[in-house]
Amino acid sequence: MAGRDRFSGQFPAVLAAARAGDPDALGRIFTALSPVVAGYLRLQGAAEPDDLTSEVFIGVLRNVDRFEGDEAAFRSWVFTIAHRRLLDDRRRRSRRPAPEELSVADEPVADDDTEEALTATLSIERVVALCQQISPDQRDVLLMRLLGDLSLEEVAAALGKTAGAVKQLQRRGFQAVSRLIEREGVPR
Amino acid sequence: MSRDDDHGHDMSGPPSPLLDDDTIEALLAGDDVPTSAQHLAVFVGDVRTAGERAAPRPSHRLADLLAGHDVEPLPSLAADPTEPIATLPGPRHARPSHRPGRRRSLAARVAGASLVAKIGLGATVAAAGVLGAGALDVVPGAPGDGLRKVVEAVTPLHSDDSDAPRRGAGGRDGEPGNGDGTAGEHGDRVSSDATGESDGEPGVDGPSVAESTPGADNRPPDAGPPEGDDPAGSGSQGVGPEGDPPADQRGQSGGQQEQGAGPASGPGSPTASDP
Repeated sequence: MAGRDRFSGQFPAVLAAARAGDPDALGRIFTALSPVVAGYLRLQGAAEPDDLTSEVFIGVLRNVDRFEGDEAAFRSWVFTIAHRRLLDDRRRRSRRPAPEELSVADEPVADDDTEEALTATLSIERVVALCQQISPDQRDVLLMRLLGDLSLEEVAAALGKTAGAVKQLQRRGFQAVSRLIEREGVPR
Repeated sequence: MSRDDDHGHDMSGPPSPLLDDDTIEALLAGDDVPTSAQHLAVFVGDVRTAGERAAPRPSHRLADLLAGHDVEPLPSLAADPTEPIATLPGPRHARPSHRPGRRRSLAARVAGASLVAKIGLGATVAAAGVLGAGALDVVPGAPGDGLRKVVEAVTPLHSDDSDAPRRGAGGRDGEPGNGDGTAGEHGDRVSSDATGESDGEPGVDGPSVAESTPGADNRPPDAGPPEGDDPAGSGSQGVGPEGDPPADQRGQSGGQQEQGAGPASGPGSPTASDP
């Protein structure tokens, strides 16, 4: 599974350097967490997940000096920002027509490992399709738990729910995905 | 029992196996799971794969920030990044909310100006107010005369002689005015159309025309013109049931209208400048 420690045990030093504006520390935070944030936004169905990821990290890095806590709390803080930006982006797009339908299949793939990249892309397409068929609350919980490695309590804080409600949504989310997979066939 | 989930999504299909807490924890931890939950383990693996891609390319603004250059915050970003953005324009109702903000902004700019700038701004506003009052003949006496000359020198506006009563005021003896500062000079200025000077024909006798209109037979013999047909707009001072004036005085009524003496500003009507 994706490890909880994405900073090789050096998170306090990285955070201190980032607060001082050290470009290396800022870059390390971006490199460590931007893939999971982009994955979260992509599976949430964001139209332009990479652009939205940049917007999230502008908010993160500009306010990193205000953060207090350990790595788990920092990850929870980053995902809270990501979730709020996702909601803002949806509201913004709901007020104007989408220019064109964007698909994860349009992403460029490397030439050297085209087959592997294509397989991964198809897998992501399938996961995106599954995620879009469960309720938004269930999707929020499952993706924060699986991609952000957030605890029940951290997810509850990010979504403004109780830990008990999050646990129920998690269970129902897994059950809903299970029904969908059984109906449509096991992926791969 | 309904197959819908807690948000109304149609979840019709085969019943899902009951997931116990241990299985869910195993799924989240990436540990081995029972065969009945293998498909969920595949799903969890795919979700995590989506988060293991290379870091996305940062935008130009983020690249500047990563390079150690401070960037201006996006107007859409809230002060607290974990808070939803509240400054985005709403569908329609949010537009008026910008106006108080603009007023506050102007007030803040004035408050933040230097003392010299505030004095200059105050003097400018005061001068504009005094000149405007002078142009409107509100300032009496010699100061008003001086101001009128200044205004007339720089604008096409011209005011009456300062000794004349103000526009719309009554005569000096308390008689109703004509709107031009003269008192009760009815008939002195009669339209040339009414007197026949212009074409040799005297003016049209209004009441005689009215008597030929439909419904004239139903009118009492001493009734004035039908309501709303008062051609002079003379209001309460107009030609009433006391009798038809001579043709030359009827023309005078039209003359009043030419002078703009309607019911609101007509002879003797109350105006803001009346005492």
